This record gives sequence, structure tokens and C-alpha cells, in this order.
Amino acid sequence: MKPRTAFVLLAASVAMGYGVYKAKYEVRELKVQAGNLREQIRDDQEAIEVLKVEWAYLTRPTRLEELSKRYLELGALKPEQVVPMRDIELALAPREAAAPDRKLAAVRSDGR
Amino acid sequence: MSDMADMDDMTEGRRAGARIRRDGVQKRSLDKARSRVMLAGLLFAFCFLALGVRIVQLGVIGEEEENIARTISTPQVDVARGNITDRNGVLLATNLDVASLYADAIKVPDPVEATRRLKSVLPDLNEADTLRRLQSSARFVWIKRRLSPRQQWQVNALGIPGLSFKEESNRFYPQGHLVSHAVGYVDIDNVGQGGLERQFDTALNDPVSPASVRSSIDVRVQHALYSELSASMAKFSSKGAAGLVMDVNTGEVLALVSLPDFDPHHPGDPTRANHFNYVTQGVYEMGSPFKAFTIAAALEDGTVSLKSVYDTTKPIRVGRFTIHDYHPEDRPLTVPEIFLHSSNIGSAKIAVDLGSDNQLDFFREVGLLEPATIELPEVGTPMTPPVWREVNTMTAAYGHGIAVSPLQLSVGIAALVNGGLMKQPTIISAEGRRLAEPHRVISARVSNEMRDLMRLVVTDGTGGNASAAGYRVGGKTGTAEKLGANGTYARKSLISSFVGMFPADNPKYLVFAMLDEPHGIKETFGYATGGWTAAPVVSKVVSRIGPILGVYPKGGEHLAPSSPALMASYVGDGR
Repeated sequence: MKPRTAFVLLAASVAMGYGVYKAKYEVRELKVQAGNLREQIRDDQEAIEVLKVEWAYLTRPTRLEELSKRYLELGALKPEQVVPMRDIELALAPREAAAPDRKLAAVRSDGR
Repeated sequence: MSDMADMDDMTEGRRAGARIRRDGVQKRSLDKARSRVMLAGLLFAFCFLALGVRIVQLGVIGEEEENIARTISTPQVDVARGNITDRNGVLLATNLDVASLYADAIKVPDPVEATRRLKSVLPDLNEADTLRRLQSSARFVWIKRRLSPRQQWQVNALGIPGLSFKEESNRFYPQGHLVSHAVGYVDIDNVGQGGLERQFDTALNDPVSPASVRSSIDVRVQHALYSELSASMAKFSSKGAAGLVMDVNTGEVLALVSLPDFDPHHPGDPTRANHFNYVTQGVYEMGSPFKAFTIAAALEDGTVSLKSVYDTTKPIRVGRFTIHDYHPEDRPLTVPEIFLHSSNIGSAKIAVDLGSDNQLDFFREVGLLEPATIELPEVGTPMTPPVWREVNTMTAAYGHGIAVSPLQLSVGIAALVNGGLMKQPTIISAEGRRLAEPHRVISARVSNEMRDLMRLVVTDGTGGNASAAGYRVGGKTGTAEKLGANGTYARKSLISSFVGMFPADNPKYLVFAMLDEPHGIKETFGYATGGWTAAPVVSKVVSRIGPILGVYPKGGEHLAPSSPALMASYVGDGR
């Protein structure tokens, strides 16, 4: 084997070895990162679970009714407050006389 | 192998042959050695080539890395027990890791100061007790069990040495006692002890993949029923109250309330009355709502038509029994009038004409003779007379001498008004699920007639108090005397109920309300009957849940006409 060939091969193998070890260390580093992320995701998921429960607890109807009575001037929905779109149209019609008929027709079609 | 070696021999031989000549034996062994070295060299070269290719593959193409990335899965949070939710996904029962605070008393440097600071973040801490524990030399003393996450954070922020947390998985019911009978509760080892928790205990507790249970309950509807029932229970100083909202077309139970109830976090003794589920477990003589079954069966059978007339002026005597009416009319009554005025005599006569066998068959078909099938462990068995004599036929016609659970009654009534189909009741959401095939118990025509009759009860009969503006409630009042301890009817102990449905022209929901031993008050002129106590509950519940369930209110019933001028006041300036 000629010395030059041997040298080239040696250099190549050293380079390869270096490359392999570098890659390996990088992978190890990434693995640690992945583990940390996994841990973080789990923590976040647990926190989300707790928040979901807290949400359910804070929005329970019993409490909402109490708060609504105390802070809002809202009552139960009365039947006469539920109106078909048709009636709203009629109420709006005089004021929006200029509005094209097509628009009203569209409202009518999905109103009921 | 040997071919290759021969070839090597030849080339090597030619090259060497120029320089050295050796005799046969020596030359041959030398050639052999060379060829072996060459072979080994080739082998190594091949191996290195393979490694090189692999390195290029790994480094440049990077296929393996992708694979690694793909195998990293998001970690699953360990679930100790599956959730129970309502039909809209609102949590009814879930598990939470809860921190409990304990201390290594020896490591706490200043117990007095530590106690004072702990008290500042945990206001309900028993100071003297805590101080005593911290001053002891125990290595493990509980300070406080089950801290909230906020409290845990605050305690951590105090930075007192020697304090630690221990995480414990705990069942938590965000809705409190709102759905206690339907959901049930678990014991200290997270084993289901009642309601859905018990029924689906195995699936919920599955160690590999705990199932979630999506019930058919709607917490908004549940709350409306709950608050109206508890208000009514207090108003009439009743022993208990119960109610049910059911989708008549699917059999789904949207609300199930039984009062008194219990806090699922502290269930207490399960044999106590507050654990008893009135709706599914209790069986009662329901009284007048049974007239609906009698009349429906007779209409279906053709025994009577809506125009048939019965003489109800004189009480019926059968053996030692006398059947009489509470609101006697001095004239013969038509079938609708019998229903409207809740005539016992008329119903008994219809049942006699229908015949005992037909009556029993019909009762069986609408599920009054067998325990209801629902996904709850607490199901009561109906009580029927061992021998069905004519007198039993007569009394059963108006709901006496036969005891069924409110659930059974509701399912049966639902079948009468939903077009005539008997649905299996369920407390599990029907969405995406194949329901049991319903069977027809009456024709659509008779079902229509039953709707009209029940609507009449509210517009013109005993159920006027169940009326809810716009929602066209129909139904039937029920008032029955409870059997006393000595087997005789107790005059003052009533089971007052109302079974209603709305909208009567095409019923979607059934609402049942019942009060156990209500007492008449001034406002009801001393009456404690179903029409005075339970019917108003149904009225209020329907008004509250109608908009939630998307039932469109119609005019014509104490409803302001929707005029453009009125509309303008709602729309405001129109933008």
C-alpha cells in the first residue's frame, strides 16, 4: 500500500470517527432536550386538567345563577323575548326602506 | 472461493515472477499466504465501506433521526379513574392530584413562627394543634390534607424548611351535590359506590385505559329542576321531592333530581334517606296519571272513543271497597271529561270494559310491571297485587293498588305522547350510539289524542298551574295517599305529582315533578295536591329550560302579540 493512500485513508477514518462522535453527542443532547420537553408537556397537561376542573367548578350553574342575581340585571328569558326574524324585519323595514329586497329575503329564508 | 484464489495466484505469480524465482513448494505457500492477506483486506475494506455508507446515510440523509423524532410520543397524563361528563362535556366527576402538607417536625427551626406564617395562608388552620405537632419530635406530622393548588403555591412561597407535600389522587365533583344521585360517589379507595360511579366502576377504573362516561344529563336543565324542586320542597315543608326531565324521542334523561341529597365529597352513611333515589328506586302508587294508560289502552283497543259517555254520578261498590270521585259531576261524562275532571269512577268503568287481561297486557307493554332498565344500580321493583281481580283492574285504572317508580311512569307517559313508541330510558348520551329498537304500543292517531287530552288538563282541567306561557304544556296531575304503617291509607300523607310534556302539539320533553308529603299553605288554600304543589314546579321548569333546549315559544297563550312597534322596542335603534 502506498503511503499516500494510507494517509488519505487514515485521515478519512479520523474524520469519520470525529463525525460519528459529534453526531452521537448531539443526539444525546437532543435526547435530554426531548426529555425535558416531555416533562414540561406533562406538567402543562396536568395544569390544563386542573384548570378544566377549576373551570367546571367556577361555571357551575348554581354559582352562575347566584353571581348573575347579584351583579347583573338579567332575568329568565321570557317567551315574548324570543321573536322570529320575520318580526325583526318588519321592525327594521321602515328605517331601511332603501335596503335592497334581496337582503331581506335572505334574512327571511334562514330566519325560521 | 477457490476460483478467486486461483486468479489471485495467477496475477500475483506473474508480478513476482519477474523478480524472484523460487522452486515449486515455497512459491506455492507464499502465494497462498498472500491471497489470504488479500482476502482479509477485501473483507475489511467491505466492512469499512458498509460503515461509511451507513455514516453518510445517518449524517446526510438523516432518515434515522426522523424516525427517532417520530417515536417521541406526547406523554399521557396518568389517569387514575375516568371522567364522567354531562351531555355537553361539562365535568361531573374527575380525578385531581391533590397535595397534602406534612412536616418533619425536627427540621422545622421555629415552630411558633412557622405556625403563625402558615396560619396567614391557611386561615382555617387550627393554630394550637399545629403548634403542638410542630413542637413534637415526630418525623412525620400532617399539617393539612387536600390543599388547593393556590394554597400549595402560597405555602411553598413561605419557604419554611421541613415542610413537604404528598400528592394524593382524589375524586372531585365540580358540580357539588347538584347531580349526586345520578353520578354517585366513590369510597376512600376510589371504588364507585352509587349511581354511574358504581354502574361503570370497572370501565372507569380500567388500569390500562380508563373509560370516560358521557351521561345524558344536561347540567343547565338539572340546575333548573333542582332549584325549582328545592324551593317547592321548602315551600310546602315536604319530606322529599323528586323530578325528571326526559327526551321523549330518545329516552335520554336530561335531569334527575332526588331530594334530600348528599354531598358526593362527604357522602356519609349510604343507608340514610338522602341516599335514596326517589326517581328510580322508590315505588309509589302514582294515582291519576294512570288514567292516561287506561284511556290510551281503551282508545287503542277500540273499547271507547273520545265520544263515549259513562255515568259517573254514583260511587261503585266492589266488595268492601267504594270507588268515588273527589270532584263529582252530576251528569254522565265523556271520555275527555273523565280525564279532565280526573274521575275515578269513569276510569274504573273504562278499565272494566277494556278487560283485566287487556289492561295487564298494556301495562306490561309500557313497562309498568317490570323494573325499569336504566344504567343505574338503584332501580326499584314495581309492586303489583299477586292476584289480579276485578277490583284490582278498577283501582289500577286510576293508579291505586299498583306501585311503580317515577321513572317507569315517565317512560310510559313518554311512549303515549311521542307518537306511540316505547323507548328504553337511558342516562348515557345517545349521540353516536345505536339505541334499542323501540316498539309501538299505540298508534300515532291515539298518541295524538293523548296529547290533546293532556293539553286539555292544563288549559281547562286540574293542571292549570303547570301552564308555561308560550310552551304549550300538557300533562296530568297525580295525588295519592301513602300507605300508613298499619296498611291503611294515610289521609294527610300525600304523594303529589305532575307529569307534563311540552310542546303539546309535538312533544319533545317530558317533565316530571313529585313532592313527598307536602303540606298545604295559605297560598294554595290548604291544598297539597299535585295540581297545587307539583304542577307549578313543572311550569317554572319548562319556562326555564324551554329556551335552553331550543323549543320555540308560540303565541296564543298569555303571549303579547308581536307587533312591529313592540319589536322596535326590542331591536332598539335597529343597528
